[in-house]
Amino acid sequence: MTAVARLPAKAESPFQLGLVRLMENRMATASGLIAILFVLAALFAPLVAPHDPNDADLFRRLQPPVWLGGEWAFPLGCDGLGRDILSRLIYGARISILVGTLVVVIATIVGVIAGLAAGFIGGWVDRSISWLVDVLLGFPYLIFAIGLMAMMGTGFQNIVLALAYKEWVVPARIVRGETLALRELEYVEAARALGASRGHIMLREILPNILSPVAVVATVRMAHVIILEASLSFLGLGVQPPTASWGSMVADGRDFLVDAWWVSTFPGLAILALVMAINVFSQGLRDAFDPRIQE
Amino acid sequence: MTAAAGPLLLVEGLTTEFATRGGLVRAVDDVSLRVEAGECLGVVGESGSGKSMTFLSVMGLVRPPGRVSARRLMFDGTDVLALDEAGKRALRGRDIAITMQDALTALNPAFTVATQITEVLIAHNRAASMGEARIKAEEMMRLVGIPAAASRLDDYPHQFSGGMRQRIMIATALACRPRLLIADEPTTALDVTIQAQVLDLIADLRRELGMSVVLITHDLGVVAEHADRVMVMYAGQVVEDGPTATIIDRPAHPYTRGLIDCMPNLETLDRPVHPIPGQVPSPLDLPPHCRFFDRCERAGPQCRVPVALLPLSPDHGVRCIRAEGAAHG
Repeated sequence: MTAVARLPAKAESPFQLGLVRLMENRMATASGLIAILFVLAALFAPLVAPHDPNDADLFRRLQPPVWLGGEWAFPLGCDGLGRDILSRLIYGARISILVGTLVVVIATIVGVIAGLAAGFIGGWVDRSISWLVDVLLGFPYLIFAIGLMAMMGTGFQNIVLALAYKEWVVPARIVRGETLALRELEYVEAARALGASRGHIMLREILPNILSPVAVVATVRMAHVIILEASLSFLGLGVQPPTASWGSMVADGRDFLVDAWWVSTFPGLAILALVMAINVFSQGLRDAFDPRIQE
Repeated sequence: MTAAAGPLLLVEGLTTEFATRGGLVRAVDDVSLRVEAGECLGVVGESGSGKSMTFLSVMGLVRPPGRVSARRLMFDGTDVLALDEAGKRALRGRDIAITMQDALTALNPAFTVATQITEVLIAHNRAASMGEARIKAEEMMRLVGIPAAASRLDDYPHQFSGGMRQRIMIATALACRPRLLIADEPTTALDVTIQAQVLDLIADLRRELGMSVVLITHDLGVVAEHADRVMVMYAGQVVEDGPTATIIDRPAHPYTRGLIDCMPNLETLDRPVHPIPGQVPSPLDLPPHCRFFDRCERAGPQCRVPVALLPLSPDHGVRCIRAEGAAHG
């Protein structure tokens, strides 16, 4: 056999190819950067925030933002207790991002296991998991969460649990569907023909090939969970005062909407910006990693 | 496991059924066959004739609601029916390997080809270490004719062409040096020039490794060139089996003759190709008599009886009561 000259092309996994496509998408990269900025601000809140978020001073009550006659020390103004809105926004990002991440991570792990089991094992396992999924999908999300919070009591841990209790059905359904489609594919059949065990087929043949849709769904759902957390906090069922959270900040400003619109508006804008950034980013993720677009 | 006297694979009375909404579908109906060591058995038939299903059943790859039963299923003297699931799993890939019809989707897109070949070796204890498995994987890739095999080990399936992927699938199937290779339509997804290469490759490997091959195809030309014996299937049944030369030159079953007649031939291009009229009967609505009855040019009133596979000679069987010399039983 003669030696064949080969172009020095590097082996590129489907993951690397997707990453390259993602980087080429400017909107997605920009949104990703915005989301990362929020995360960094939340992580380093004590360094970034100009003031203590709970430092109240009634002399600064409802002080307007700097361009409406406020002062530079409190650029976005102060709330009804004279607390710095910018600092509270930065600390509030911690709650939103932490709740969003934890809920999505828990839901994805539980959902992937449940979906794989339902789709691959089938039979009564599939029937019971699918039944549970259908029942949970029947409840309106927010009402379900409110009910759980009312039963378990408020608090950070309970918010995460209340949202995760229902959130796992979303990845579970998707993973079940993908598994059903993949288990019929030739390479899964080929693996069986080569003597692979069921565990091997689930973990090596199916799981790696459903990770991209799972990752895309996880990001989309993260935006959704952030809104839900804000809704719960707005209703007073979230983290309790004085801890800053965007939802409760919007609620705080309700009484001053006419005189001091900035109290509610800025946390509202923060929710909008983060959710939009995550959504646009997840859109780019899907375009880059959707296996149907790949050859 | 030591080689016992007798065929490598012996199947008797294999039946595969599926319970469907429309009723019970018998995809494989009382099929008996044997494959000798080192032999190439060609299996021909139209789509849906049960040829792939027969060998999926042999390998134990039919999933519920499919039900497989057999009077006897022996591999190299071992009673496969008596093996538990782990025993069957050990047999698959190590002693019996199958290459899938569609090469383009038969490799896992998420892993490099080296990973996929070494995995099989490690799973069946054919390599002591990852390093050894890698060396063997490279050897297999060279064996199936992948140019610059060493530098392509860490490539992903999508970086190979269709013909190359077919070769890699064959390499994966052959990694453990199986005694029996079941090649299920190994060339349907490939263009003609590559088809010949892949078939020659299988023939070379058969000689080199001394393995038996079951060649499932609907192309009689391929069978004529590569198989020692032929088994023709129609509507889940074996309608004729015998040595390749006999089947091609003196087909006894009207269906086999029809298959040969509808093959374009370069030497007799002026002769029109004769397609077989009609279609395979629905598996839900099989006639109680000869299943080829509706499409047979020679069918007569005496054909309205169930027909068994009758011996024409010791090594030639046919399922037609009108075949000359068939002992009527």
